[in-house]
Amino acid sequence: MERLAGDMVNLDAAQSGAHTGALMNSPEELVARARGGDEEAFRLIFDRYSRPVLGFVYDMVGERSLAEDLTQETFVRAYKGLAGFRDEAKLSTWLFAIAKNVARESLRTRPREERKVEIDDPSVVELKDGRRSPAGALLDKELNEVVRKALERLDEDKRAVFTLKVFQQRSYEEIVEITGFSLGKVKTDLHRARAEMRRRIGPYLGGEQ
Amino acid sequence: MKCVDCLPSLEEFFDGEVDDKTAERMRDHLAACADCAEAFDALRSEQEMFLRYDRGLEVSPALWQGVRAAIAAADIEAAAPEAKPRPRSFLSSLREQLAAAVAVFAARPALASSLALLALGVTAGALWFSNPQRHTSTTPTQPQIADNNGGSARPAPTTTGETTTKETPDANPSPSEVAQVNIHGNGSSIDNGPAAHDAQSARRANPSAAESLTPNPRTNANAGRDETGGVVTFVDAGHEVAAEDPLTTVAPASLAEANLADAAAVLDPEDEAVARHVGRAQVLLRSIKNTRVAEGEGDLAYEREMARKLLAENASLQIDADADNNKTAQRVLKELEPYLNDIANLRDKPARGELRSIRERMERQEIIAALHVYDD
Repeated sequence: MERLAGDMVNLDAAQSGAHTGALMNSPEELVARARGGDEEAFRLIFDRYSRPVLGFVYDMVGERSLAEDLTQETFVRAYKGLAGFRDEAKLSTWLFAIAKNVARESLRTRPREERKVEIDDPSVVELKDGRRSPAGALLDKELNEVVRKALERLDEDKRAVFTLKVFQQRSYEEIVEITGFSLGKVKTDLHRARAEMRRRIGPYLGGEQ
Repeated sequence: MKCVDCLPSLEEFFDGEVDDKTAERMRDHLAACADCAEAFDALRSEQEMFLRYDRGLEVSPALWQGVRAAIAAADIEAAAPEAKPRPRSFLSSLREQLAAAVAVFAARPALASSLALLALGVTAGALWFSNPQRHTSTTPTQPQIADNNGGSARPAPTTTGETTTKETPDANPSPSEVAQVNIHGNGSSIDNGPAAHDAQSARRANPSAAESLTPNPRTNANAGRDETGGVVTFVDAGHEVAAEDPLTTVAPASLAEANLADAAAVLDPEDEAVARHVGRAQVLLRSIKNTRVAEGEGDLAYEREMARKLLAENASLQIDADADNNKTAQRVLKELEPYLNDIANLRDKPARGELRSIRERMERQEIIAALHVYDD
């Protein structure tokens, strides 16, 4: 069956209240079929959303194998909860909400590390080998490590909002639905998260220092 | 717009979250203000950098296998028989079992009567067994029940109040023995004994027996299990139910040689998805047929919602039927579609005329009966 493009923003674009034969594999149809026990339909849901969900969960917990376990848990819960899925909701939003709860539960069971937000702390994230690229600009590999460590240092709420907005390109309204935060908190946390990330990564950006 | 107004909203504007009027004003300001434009460009560069972030993650096939295995395990766990009750005193166990039976079969007067007779029979049997001078004999034709403790089958008490017999020297029947008695009528039992469990398993294996889309508080049929493990009620179309149940009080219309009946009769019995869809549609159509909303009783919000869900499902099933070139399923689904569409578009409290036209069409095509043919 034809798959939609991988851009998360467009994955739910076909979802609408009306049913038409042209909407092959729309989220509504897949949910309806999966509810009826169609494993293939649920497999398609998994294929479509597992990568962004895995990415989001990984951003939240920071460990690959744990992220995979939690992603699996997310889809199992989704399968069990299909009967309660409100058709007027967006499937991706619903999945991310489950993923967020799964990640949050996991984080609550882990030992809480000290994550002090030191706004004026000059000791920004160091690269593994303590070097920077000769040109002062971040190579992708270095960037990945820097971003990942900077994300870890955000508190849980800001990390969730930041990753949902910046990496998953969700709207404020969707982030409200996923996280359960108020719109005001979403805006505030996003602004502060951006500021913190900017401070931690900023010195690694651009040309020569 | 001034910088002091633009800068605080710059991130929202960048995120596309400001209203159109504000966005237009900000665009005008950014075109004229170098400082704010530079701040906006910094946001854009930042975003581009973050979009380069690669976690290095791939979704391995093992992840789906893990999901699949976990779902299968959850389904098996949900389908497992309930744990046998621990031995308790005879009276407390009997009390609990009778309470459960009354709750389950409260809408079946005939069964309630049978239950009462059974209780009398069991009590009489218990009193008779407690008499050390009792005289034993066997009635070969009585139904047998399994001994929970692995003993041989013993005659089961009947619902007619006949004198029951036992071959074991126990003074009183065990709680499990009482619990395993089958209630006549539908094969369900108070406790999940082997026979009753088989009946429930058979019912789950044949979901075409009018499985509800959602738990319907208006039905009082056998309890089953939905795919999430929760309890749903099943409508047993052939079973006697209370008069106030609007979904099952009307007997099916007589069969006719309608196109729909012909098509429904030759549908592939293994086409479970379509069968389930038809079963649910049947329940909905009966509800519409029997509703008294035009007389001011209740509204059709539930039916409308159900119709919308079925409409979406119908569309999906039609696509599959087209892909599989399943002409019979196509015909059935296409016949159903206009009914679902009409119901989905009804108002909560429709006028008599709106309902009349739907009902008349249903009568003319005898669609409920036609669906019942397929449902069997």
